[in-house]
Amino acid sequence: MITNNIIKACLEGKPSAQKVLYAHFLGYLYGICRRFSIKEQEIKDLMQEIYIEIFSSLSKFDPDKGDIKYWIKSIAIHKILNYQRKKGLEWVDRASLPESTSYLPSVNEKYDAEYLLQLISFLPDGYRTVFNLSVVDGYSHKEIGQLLNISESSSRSQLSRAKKLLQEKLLSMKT
Amino acid sequence: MSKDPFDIFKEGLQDYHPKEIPSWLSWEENAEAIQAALPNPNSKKRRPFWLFLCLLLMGFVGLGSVYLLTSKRSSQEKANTPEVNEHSSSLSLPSTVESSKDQPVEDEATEENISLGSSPLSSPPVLLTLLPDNRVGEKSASISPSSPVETTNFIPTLQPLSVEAPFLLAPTGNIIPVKPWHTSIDLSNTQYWSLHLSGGATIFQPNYVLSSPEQDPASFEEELIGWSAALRMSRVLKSRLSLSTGVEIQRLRYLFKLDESFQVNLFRPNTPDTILINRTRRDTSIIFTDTIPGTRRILARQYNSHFRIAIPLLIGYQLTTPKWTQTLRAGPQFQLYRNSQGYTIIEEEGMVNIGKREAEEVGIILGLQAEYESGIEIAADWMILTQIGIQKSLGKWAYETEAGLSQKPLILYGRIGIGKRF
Repeated sequence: MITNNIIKACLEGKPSAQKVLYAHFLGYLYGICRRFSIKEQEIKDLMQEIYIEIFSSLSKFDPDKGDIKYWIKSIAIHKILNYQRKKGLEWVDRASLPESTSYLPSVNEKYDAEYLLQLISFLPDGYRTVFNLSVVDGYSHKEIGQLLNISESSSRSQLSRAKKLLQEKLLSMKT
Repeated sequence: MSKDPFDIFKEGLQDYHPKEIPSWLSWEENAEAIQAALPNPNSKKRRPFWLFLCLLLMGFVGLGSVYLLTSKRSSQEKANTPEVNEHSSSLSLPSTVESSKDQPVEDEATEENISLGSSPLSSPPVLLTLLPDNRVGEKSASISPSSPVETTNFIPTLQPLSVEAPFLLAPTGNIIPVKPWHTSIDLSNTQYWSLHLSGGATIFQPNYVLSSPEQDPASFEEELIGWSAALRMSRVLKSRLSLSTGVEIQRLRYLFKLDESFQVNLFRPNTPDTILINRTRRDTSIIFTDTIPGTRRILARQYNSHFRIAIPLLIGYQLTTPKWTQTLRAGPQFQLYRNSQGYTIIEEEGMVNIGKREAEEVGIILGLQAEYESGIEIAADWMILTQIGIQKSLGKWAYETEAGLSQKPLILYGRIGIGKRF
């Protein structure tokens, strides 16, 4: 639990408090990086950037407006998107889409998180980013459009194609 | 309501914590790098120091000008006073002046009389009378052409002297101070309107949520000086309070700077390009070559601008003399803004327009404004104004940039202009 005292001590630059906050969110942020398929060798630098941003912007965090966890997640996502933008997102055109599939995952099925991660790691960068932002992180298409500098309709179509690819992948794994 | 089958991803991944975290992500491994990049909590955030210096300088120049003009006029008035006495002493007063010394002086006139002791005029001592001008007018109006010449007749006779000297000779030979030549409004007792038109430089700090130059020295956005203009109408009340409103227009600009090259395929899907960016004064020229055999040079121009129209509702406190005015104002303002950014990418020689990307955001937000204004009167009820102020938007400019999400920008401005009282 990150208390106001820890945040205050972080603002004062106390390493012991920074360590507590760092350790508390390490697994969560590492999971987000993996969800966006950041390469292992680049995760360290990216995580450092995220934490630097967190500590230096901590004064802007307002506990009344929400949980620090979601504030930290938004910072991490912005950093990851910046990173991907610099690297160049791989946007796949329509020609490489699979044929229509009929398989839908059952809502009652239990999937291991690692298995789900493996599934979305097969997606092209652009699809995976939009899928993560929309399905997992709950961003609207308008917000995704603003974040990725694409139109809302592009976001919708990217998500639709990502879902089709995932259906295809799930189907092939089933069989 | 049926559940989206893809919610399994949300449920499985939204709080995903990997079972194993690599040791190279431990605090001990990363603390040094993180702490080295953090700003010192005891040092304040970097601000455009030169801007504050400029604003300070403008303030000093304004106040200095006021001081110089005030002291110059004071010395002129002092220099003119003996001249009045000389004129007064050289006047040949009619006999009624002599006789008036025996007459009782009117009550009104005696209330504020000040004895000067000896005088160039004949005894009794000349009295300085602080009569308001309207009394002078009344006395003048009461003169009958048929009546014997009275001392009041000297008022119109001596009026031209007041152009040179700030005093009149009163009926009993008293000296009457009059209002300075350059204002027609009794500023201390009258409510009046004033209209101000001003323009000048503006700079803004976007207050990005994310990266800043300290953390990512190779990539950041740099604020540029923009411009602003304001038309303002004020109603000054007796209590020195003033109410102001009007229209302000601002155009703010910034540059996007990248001192690096990187792979990108934002503009041509599946075509990685290496972008080399050269910053020029007004735009950012981007030259990049693709990795397909052969080299292509492409020119891209990037622009980022903010245009705002604001309607302020300000309340102010005003210190006024006939020569200068100092006003502090503050209050809310309603801002209609339009943020634009975009790229225009054209292959060299204008052969192919590879891409054009534009984003525009329009909205209305509330802001706060505080301002200091110094005015120096240069002619009858005309003033030269110096304004320095600060504006803070209370709402976010929902505006995504390479450097992060802009929010609640801080705007500083300095303007000069003219003002008219009426």
